[in-house]
Amino acid sequence: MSDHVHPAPRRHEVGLWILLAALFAVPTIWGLRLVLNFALASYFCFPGTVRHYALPGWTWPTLLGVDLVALAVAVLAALASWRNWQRTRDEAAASDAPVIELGEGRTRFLALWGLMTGVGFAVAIGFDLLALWIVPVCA
Amino acid sequence: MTVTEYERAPEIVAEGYDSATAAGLKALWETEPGIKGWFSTVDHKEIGIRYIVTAFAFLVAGGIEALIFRLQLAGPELHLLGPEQYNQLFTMHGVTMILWYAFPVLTGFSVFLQPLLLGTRDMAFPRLNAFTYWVFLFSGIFLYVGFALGSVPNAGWFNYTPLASRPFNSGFGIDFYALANILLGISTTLGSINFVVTILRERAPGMSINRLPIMSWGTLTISVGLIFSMPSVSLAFFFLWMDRRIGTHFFDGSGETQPLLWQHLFWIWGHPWVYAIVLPAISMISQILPVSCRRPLVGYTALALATVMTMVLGFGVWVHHMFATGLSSMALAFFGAVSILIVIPSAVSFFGWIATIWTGRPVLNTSFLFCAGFIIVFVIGGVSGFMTGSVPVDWQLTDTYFVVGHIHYVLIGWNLFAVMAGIYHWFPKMTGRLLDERIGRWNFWLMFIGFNVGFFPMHISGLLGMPRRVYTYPEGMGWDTLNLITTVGSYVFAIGFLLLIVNVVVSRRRGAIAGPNPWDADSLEWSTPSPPPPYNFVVIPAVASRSPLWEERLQAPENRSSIGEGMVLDHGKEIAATSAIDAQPEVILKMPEDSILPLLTALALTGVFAGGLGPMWWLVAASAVIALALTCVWLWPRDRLAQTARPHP
Repeated sequence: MSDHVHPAPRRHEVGLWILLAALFAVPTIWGLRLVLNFALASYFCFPGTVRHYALPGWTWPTLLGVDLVALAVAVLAALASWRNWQRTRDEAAASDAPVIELGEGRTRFLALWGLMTGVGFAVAIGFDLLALWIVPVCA
Repeated sequence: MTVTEYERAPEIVAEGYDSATAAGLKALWETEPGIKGWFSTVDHKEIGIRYIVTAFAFLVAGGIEALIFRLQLAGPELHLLGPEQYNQLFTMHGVTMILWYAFPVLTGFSVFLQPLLLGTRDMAFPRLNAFTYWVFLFSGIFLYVGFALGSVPNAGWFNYTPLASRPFNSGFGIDFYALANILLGISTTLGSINFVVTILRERAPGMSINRLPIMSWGTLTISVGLIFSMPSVSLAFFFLWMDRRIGTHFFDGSGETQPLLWQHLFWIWGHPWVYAIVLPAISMISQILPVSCRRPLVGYTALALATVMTMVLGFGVWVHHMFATGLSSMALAFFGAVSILIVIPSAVSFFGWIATIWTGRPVLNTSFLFCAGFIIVFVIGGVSGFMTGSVPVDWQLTDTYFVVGHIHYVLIGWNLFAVMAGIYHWFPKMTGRLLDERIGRWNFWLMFIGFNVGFFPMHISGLLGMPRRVYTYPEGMGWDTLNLITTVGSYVFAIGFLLLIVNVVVSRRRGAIAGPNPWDADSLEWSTPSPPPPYNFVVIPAVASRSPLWEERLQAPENRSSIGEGMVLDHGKEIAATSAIDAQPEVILKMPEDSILPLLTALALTGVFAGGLGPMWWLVAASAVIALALTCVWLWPRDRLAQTARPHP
């Protein structure tokens, strides 16, 4: 047992905290963005019992700003994960078998997850950005 | 207990299941025979099977309710049931299937399988595991006691206010549902915590996060999700109960109350719950399919991430159940976008399965047939979900039978078909005997044909304008034939399911002996005898790949998993705790023995909720005091479990 190879042979090259930060930052900011923009876009249409059809002037730029910040975080996290993935590229060499999926090493695995998460959520946030131009706020 | 006992280096040995060490472990872990042992066992395998059997009992109850009201809807203007009886039956059907069958049955599989998949000997908190089962059982009994007494909820499974509020709904039916739901929520939350700790801290050495069995990703994901979402619905039902029995005004429509708040609180839980009852099932398919196709799962990394991301995105779609409530269009656009984007991780899973089948050599047994059937209905249910995720389409379809068709494709298709595949796959591990394949094929084809004949026409009924939740309908609307076909299909489906029960009863006694690994599968549970001994593994295995039992044939490098040689851990009931990310051994844990305390505490807790019906405050107070006292006894620190301060040398 003692001669088993550690599942993350390149763990010293990329810290666990940067792997996890890049992975968790994007879903977190996406969730916060959704709740904040939902509240902004809803409340000012129904501040009381009467429906409003126009928002205060600062609302639309705020919605846009929140989306852009979230998009920036997603892109930065994806770039950081890309860098982590590149730095651990030879962790895959630990598995020299062509057929079996040994798992490409824990470090590389988490970096790849971070990359896919960053890109995926950037697309999701981009979808909502489009809505700012094509959907009337309080229709 | 000495310092050596706490901090000893575990002995590494090679031992088999017929060794003296195995006999010693059996004596340590075995449940005492007889009634006392039955009520006090904490063996995860026994508890897992109980979960599955109990959930199936609720499935049968909910199914009978459906079969009765499908007769009512078989033709126009029928009067087998009155409107109120119809309301009660469809509510009980929905509540039973969604809350007391669909999730608990998956919990049963996870409770039975997770320790075996992870290479450990029990759940992290065995007594808590028993407690969550008993609370689940008592919550369901509590609900059906109300049914037997004529206090039946009648406002649908999502129980919208103010319809469910006391001014519009007197009697105790809603209260039984509210209190039973909170009780079930306690069981679900505690069970989720148990799964998270088990999966993060009890994996076999070497089973790093990238080697986690794909089924464990499903259980881990929904467990984390439920820890965040369950408080929302428990709070909603608690507020509703206070409105009804104490006189508060959260939802009842009077003055400044907020009936729409109910929908938010309900669906913030409700949509993650939908994923909770499908993601473990999806992961079961991902676990079984590679075995049937004789090759590792294609795209493990992407499929595991897709599972997690589905749950994350699932927290951002709750408003798509409220598209027709008049919220602002921009808000609807946010949730509509997520509801459509969530198709992407589902598509990743779909293409992973197709590639696994395409590049593998499928063995066409019953388990594979149910996997294949699952994939077909997965697509149909996914497409109809995509349609209702679009705001303008949803405005046309909401509250029609189209939505009923969609939910049945999701809940039966994505849950029951996977569960059926799971039963045919793991029944040999649970019992030591194989299910009959000939009955199994009849079982599959009747269920598959009955399901599609029964539920696909619901989509068309909905498109033709048939509203949901009507106890009858007039002639000449164009719905007559479709409803008759739906009723016939549902009965064919029920007959197909009956064949499973026949198969289980027959095969339990006369099925072929399975042996340890009848499917030549790749994961750790198949390295144990069938059924597994009380201690699961003689020695704790060490893992070096995702397919520890297939390494030789897949030409893995020399560094291979160690199945028969490992830590023996036999100084009492012991397991190894490993690190959360890399699964490196960290400490030896002492596990508790069997106890009647979980059962007694669950009974006392049920008493608290039963007292809430009146409310009978004396019963609430007495039960709470008893529950608290039992909890103190249960949790009192003990030397034997290494819970007291360590003695100095």
